[in-house]
Amino acid sequence: MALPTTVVSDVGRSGHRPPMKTSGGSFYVVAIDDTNDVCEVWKADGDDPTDAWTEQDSANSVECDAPCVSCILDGDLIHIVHIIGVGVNNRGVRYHQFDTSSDTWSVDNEVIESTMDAAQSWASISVRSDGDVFVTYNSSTDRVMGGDKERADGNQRTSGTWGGPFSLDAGGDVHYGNPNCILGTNDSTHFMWLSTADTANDPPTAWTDTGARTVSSGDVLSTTQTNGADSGGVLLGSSNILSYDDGGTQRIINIYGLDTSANMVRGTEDGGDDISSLNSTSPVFNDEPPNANGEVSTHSLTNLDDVIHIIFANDVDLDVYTCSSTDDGSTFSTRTEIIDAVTCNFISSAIYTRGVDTVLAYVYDDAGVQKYNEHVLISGATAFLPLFDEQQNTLLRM
Amino acid sequence: MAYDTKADFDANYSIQVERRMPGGGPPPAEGREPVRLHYHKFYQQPWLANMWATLQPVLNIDSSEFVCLVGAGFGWGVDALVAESGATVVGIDISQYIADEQGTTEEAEINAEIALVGLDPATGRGLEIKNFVYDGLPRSDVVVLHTDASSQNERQLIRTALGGNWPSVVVYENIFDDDWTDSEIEAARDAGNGFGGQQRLIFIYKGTSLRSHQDLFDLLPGTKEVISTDGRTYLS
Repeated sequence: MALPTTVVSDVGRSGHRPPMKTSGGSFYVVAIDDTNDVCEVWKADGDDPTDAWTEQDSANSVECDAPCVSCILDGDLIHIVHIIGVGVNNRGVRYHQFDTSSDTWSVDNEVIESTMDAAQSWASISVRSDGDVFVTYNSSTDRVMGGDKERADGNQRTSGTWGGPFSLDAGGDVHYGNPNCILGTNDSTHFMWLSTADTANDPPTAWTDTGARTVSSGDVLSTTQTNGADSGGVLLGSSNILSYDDGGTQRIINIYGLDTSANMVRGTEDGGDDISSLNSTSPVFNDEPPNANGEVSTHSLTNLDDVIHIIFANDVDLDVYTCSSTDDGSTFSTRTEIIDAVTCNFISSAIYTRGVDTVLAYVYDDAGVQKYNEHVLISGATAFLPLFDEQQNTLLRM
Repeated sequence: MAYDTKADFDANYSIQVERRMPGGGPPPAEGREPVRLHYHKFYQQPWLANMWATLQPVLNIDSSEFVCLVGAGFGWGVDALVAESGATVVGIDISQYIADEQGTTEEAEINAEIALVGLDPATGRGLEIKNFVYDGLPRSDVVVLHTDASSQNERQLIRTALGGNWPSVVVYENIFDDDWTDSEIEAARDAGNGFGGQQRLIFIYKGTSLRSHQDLFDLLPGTKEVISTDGRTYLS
């Protein structure tokens, strides 16, 4: 069978759910069964994603009425966070865990937040080397001067227990949202989000600023770094963030889609492994940026050896394109169409080796069907043994 | 206008406390709602201080000015404006809740919010939360006059509070929302312009989708200034 292959005939959802390759060479995709409201794990038959995909442990598929699902592979475990509830006042946050060593669900619907109101549905997840899981999500609003203000919270799972939400934002008469998290250096966990102090609209219709802070390996929350950067009208325009070593300087990259272009915010770690500064570049694209599927931008970020790759659905024809940056996001190459004649509503990507090739692998929704495909970045690479870091969604070289 | 009773203020201000405490919370295992504060000093005072720190560089209210701050609540904005400008400031507010609770502490209200989620404010986690948000002091040491300055007698009270000086600056501290009609806004403006002499009229306004900063500016007659609560919009 040739690529692309169909994983499941169901719509893709928002969140960051890249295809995953285990150290044992198996391939997995987390998908949502929109009809039956369950979260499923699909595995490539015979460890060959060009073959068919089969749902794993289907008898125990977890309940998942989920506007947004994000996941990450850490060792043998797939960690999943999702926002449940279709109404603004009926949201909740849940955690699941799938064990690829036995291909069974190991944690089912663990409550992170039981109920909350949040205008937008978004969650992100990362895992530390000590096994602590971090999530961040659009959380319960505060009411300030009669207006509901969105908030961005983090939450931490230690030894199987969630500690309760901790604020990332500074509160006040400001909206916060679309937070993402990623592992940095020395087990630091970085958080980035968008915000606006524009009070004319409750809920907001656009973001105007970005923010970032770090939880250290010792669980200390750093001070907030901010940057004013127009993020436009796509309220969930940041699909995922990157963290990678740029010649000894750890970068943290956030690219978020707009109505007409896309912007980038770049953070840098300081000597204490905290995000110490933010700067921005706009626009990343000069025309035909990632499509906004409702309030969600259809793009995904990966990094390979200091090169940033964006894969996205073009907002004109909804086909799939890529472009890349070799200067940490300051400039990007001309986009290249890699799939024509599709209707891409969702996309999420990762880089790994398969066989002798280094590939940009991605799961995407093509007109309501979730498919797996690859774009070869390096063909027949045998001169080295690459190491993929799932936590930072980046490929390292050894 | 929706800020008269405590219920009005509670409905318009509701802030989760525990997620802002060291360690965050509450953990889901406790199966309870988080504690929320409303129109209380712990959050309102620093927010107003931050707002005035942002606005004063734009407004440049001189230390020689006599300011009437309209919609002053418990007076945290008065303190902040004095700190930022050095001006002489009196606050006014027509809210009955403000008038009833001036000079009192927030302890009973905070205890009630903690008890509402099933905690005891005298022990354990409940006490920890109370100690985080309550400083044991009165809400404010500022006296806010219970008046809307709509009559000459009321304006005289304000003048007396300013040491016998008419206000040279009248600041409306974000009192307008979508419940205010145009004529009510005009009446409030006229009251502030009814003091002896010429007042500088400043309208701090967060803006809404129904009435923008420009809409408010165009509605108000005469010389005036409209500034957003974050200072990014300033019309004069």
